[in-house]
Amino acid sequence: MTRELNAPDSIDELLLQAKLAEDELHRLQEELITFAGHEFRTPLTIIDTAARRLDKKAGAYSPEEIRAKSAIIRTTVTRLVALVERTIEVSKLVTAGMSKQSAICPLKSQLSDICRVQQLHYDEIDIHCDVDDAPETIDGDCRFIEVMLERTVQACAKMISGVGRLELSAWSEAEQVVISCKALCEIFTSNDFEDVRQQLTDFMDCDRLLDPGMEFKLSRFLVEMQQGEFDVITDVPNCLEIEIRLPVRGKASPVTNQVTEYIKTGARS
Amino acid sequence: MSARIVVVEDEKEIQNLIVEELEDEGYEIATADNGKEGIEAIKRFKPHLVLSDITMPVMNGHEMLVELREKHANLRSMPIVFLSALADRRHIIEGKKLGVDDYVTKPIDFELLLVTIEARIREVERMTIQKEEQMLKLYQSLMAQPEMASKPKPALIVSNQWVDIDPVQVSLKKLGIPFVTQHRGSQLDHYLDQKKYSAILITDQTNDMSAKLTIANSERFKAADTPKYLLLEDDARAQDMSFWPQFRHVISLGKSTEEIAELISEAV
Repeated sequence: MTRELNAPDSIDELLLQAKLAEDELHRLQEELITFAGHEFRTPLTIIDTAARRLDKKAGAYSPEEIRAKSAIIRTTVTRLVALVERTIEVSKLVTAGMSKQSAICPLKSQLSDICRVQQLHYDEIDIHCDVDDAPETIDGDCRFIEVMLERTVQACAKMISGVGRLELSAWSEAEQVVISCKALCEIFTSNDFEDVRQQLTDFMDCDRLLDPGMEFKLSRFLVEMQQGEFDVITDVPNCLEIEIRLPVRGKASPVTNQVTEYIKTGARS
Repeated sequence: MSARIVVVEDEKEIQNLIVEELEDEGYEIATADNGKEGIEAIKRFKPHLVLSDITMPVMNGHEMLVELREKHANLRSMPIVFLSALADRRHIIEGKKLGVDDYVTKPIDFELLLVTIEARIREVERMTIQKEEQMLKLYQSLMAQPEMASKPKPALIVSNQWVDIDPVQVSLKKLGIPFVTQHRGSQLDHYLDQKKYSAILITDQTNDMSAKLTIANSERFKAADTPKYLLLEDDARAQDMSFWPQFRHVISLGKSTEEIAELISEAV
């Protein structure tokens, strides 16, 4: 679903658009809560089960086995903390997003940083970054753009079960920057990728809240809030490719800002 | 008896921890990372039960469940337990509507999970015994009819209930040989005590033990003066062939019904 932010003709139309945007925001907030509930249960399961194993087998385990189980718990706690922080961050962004003001974001360095940081998280994935042709900066909220790109990379990594190669590249095209994230995995056949793409496309178009595609849905929402486009590329056989297009220079502000502006000044922005 | 379970879970840490817990309880485990691999593992491993996550890439738990129930006739009644972080009431209802047998939420209450698994496996055993008894009664009443006196003795098939033995059954029908299908290798002597058979056909794995163990545990198998056949699936795992000489023929279930009928008709 894509929101059309065409110039409205009357205050009624503006209010209607604002209402639709607000409904969408509430829906996303609800999705986020359900999503967080689901996401938290996975690390909690690992911690709880590993602790149970230690409790049950403490006498039988060797010191190495005990250390291995403790390491699982500690790593998962770190993951859980990151998840809590990320969820709070996204929640804040989604809530505040409707009134975001334009700012300058150093896109090129941000993309390189995302690759570097995500490489530390996914040691079984080779993350390749090609941003030479990307614009140095774009208009947009930096934290917002960081979260949307981070989410997209993480979701791609998840779709190939955390093993393989991710290629993040960016380049300028007319007034836009195109950011492509390709996920490749040797153990996936072209049929597997077809299934993944189908699963993802079906999910993006349906109302179901939870699936591996949930993170993509959230990314898409964030991309659209930046007046951009989010696409699952379907004609590449042996990989999963996500393409994000963002305006390099700021477009008209989101609809709520237009309404606020209209009410303040009595004129359409 | 050690029951077999396929664990389908994309989170490796969770998968490994569940496997450790279930192996501690004496279960034999095969694993898969998504629904698509899960179906392959189920076809290969012939488990007594499937424990599956829902949210997985490539093919999720719901899709796997639907595919098993709709496209694999012989696996239709296999018990499936969902183990999921989707803990909302509506997700549980959705899973149950699709035909899942049980639904356990994460974080896992292992006491609950283990009793759920035991109960489901016991239920399958009960149903298998009931089905076998019904089959036998039906067969006995059929054979009690005067016109059946001149009919040939039946063949005994002992197969894992999830193995597709259609080609063998069709071949026997073509040859005009009635048959009785049973599923528990541990009961072979009991089956052989019930009546005389024209042939004994055993799949590589029965519900509760391998063909090798089945014939090793049986006192009557060796003595039975009946042609014996071992039935193998085409994708069967690496075979221990040491017991094969005790059978007249090893028949691949991938063969055509004509070929199977020809092999059986040599001695029956």
